[in-house]
Amino acid sequence: MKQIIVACNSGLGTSLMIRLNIEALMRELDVQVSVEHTDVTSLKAHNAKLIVCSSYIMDSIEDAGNVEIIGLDDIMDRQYLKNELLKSTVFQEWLAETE
Amino acid sequence: MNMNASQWFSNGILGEPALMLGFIALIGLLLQKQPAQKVMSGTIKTMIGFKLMQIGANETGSSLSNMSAVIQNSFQIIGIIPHNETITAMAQMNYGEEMAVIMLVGMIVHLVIARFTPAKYIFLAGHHILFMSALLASLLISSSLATWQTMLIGGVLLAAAMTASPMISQRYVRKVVGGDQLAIAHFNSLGYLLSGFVGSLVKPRRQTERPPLKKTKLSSLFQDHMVVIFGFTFLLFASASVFSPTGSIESMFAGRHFIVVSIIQATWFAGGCYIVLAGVRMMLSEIVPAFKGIADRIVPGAIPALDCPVLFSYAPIAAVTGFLLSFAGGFVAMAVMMQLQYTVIIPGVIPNFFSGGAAGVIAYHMGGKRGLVIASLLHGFVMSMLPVFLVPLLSNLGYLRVTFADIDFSVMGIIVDAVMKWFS
Repeated sequence: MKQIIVACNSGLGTSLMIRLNIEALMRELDVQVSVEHTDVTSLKAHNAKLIVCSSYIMDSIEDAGNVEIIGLDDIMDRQYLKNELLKSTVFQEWLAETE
Repeated sequence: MNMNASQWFSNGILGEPALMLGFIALIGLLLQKQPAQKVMSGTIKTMIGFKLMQIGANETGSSLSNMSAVIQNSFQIIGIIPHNETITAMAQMNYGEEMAVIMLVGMIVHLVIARFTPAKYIFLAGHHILFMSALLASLLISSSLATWQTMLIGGVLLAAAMTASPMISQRYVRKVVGGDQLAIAHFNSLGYLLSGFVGSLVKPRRQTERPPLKKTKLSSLFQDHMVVIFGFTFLLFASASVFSPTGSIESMFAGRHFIVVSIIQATWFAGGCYIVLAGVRMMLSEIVPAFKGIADRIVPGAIPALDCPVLFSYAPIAAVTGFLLSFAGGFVAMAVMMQLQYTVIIPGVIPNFFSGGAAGVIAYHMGGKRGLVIASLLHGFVMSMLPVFLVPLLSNLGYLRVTFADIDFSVMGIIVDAVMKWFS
């Protein structure tokens, strides 16, 4: 399943905002991807392929296993988010499958 | 038995806060024209989220009462932990329906303010909206107001706070983020104002370029909050046990060694917190997007106000330093309180992580390293001191051992209480 997990410290504020931006972007790109947001603690249980988070917490989730992590320096800039996602190998694979 | 429409509404939906919140989510999802399946699952999940908060509140409550018994037994003080999620979960067991309506009224009035006044802030941290509604419901219900007045006044006050808070901190947040593209939605704005002000007072005379501080591994130690809550609760419990009269821990906890007891209690508390957190997340993940969706449509030129960690990446090490120093300032406050009185606020690790961290970023930006150190210590001291005045105002919630953490909550409580006394 194509799923992006968005994480932040408590999984309440920042991650939800990033999730809303990603969802809007997915509609724009017309890609079917489910997006969930969660806290750092529950991250491993999700067994995600692609994790998006604020760059601030990236160090603490480096050991999350076979997963690609995108750390954002700016959580509100949608163009920057788009560029970062398009650089991701996992996301590129999903795009290729869609086409 | 047949019920007419208004009875059905007041006994059916309003009588059960989970249903009321489900109803709010339902309206939000319908307004966004979501597909039927999404509308149904979103409504159901909102209600489950609310129930999870209740379940978590029971568990954290039980372990907290054990902890407070041990602290009282060892130090002859009442220790109170500031933790927004826990106090909110406890408040909603009694005042859930008032909170739900206050949230709804607050969000609507907030949108009206943003639409028709120059204050274009949209407060997007749903959990802080929830916490403030819990505070307002608890305060106003103790007055002689009718229920509908509590809901209406509470909603208007909530809306005012949602607009005022980002506005107050924006003076300094603007300097950190370099403009008005975003604001901070976190009810600690007076703390940020304090840190920014103190930081700018101690500004080094020679204006030098502030180098970005280097990241260390230290910061990742504090990112997993369940581990942090466990660790802190364990240390608190174990150190209180060390000072307890011989044999009293064993007699309180079925003859078990105090280390074992501390581990059990810490996992219990952290587990309860996790359930509360999961509940809050589940509940808000439908309501906040609806709120934001409506705001996007009806408020042109809105400034999104976001949860405070958005500031952390502007100066990550200042955030960690601010957290630790603020926490230290809290311990200074605790030491002072222990000399003076029976009720002592134990500095909360999670609120200091968020509020202390964001305050640290602001202080570093305004006053360099010196500003960071002085402002963070002061911030932590004030943040731990203020709930002393809030705790007695929440006595109608019962003798809880938790309270609200961030500075705006305490100040709001003190102001609302003073105004209510003045009117009565």
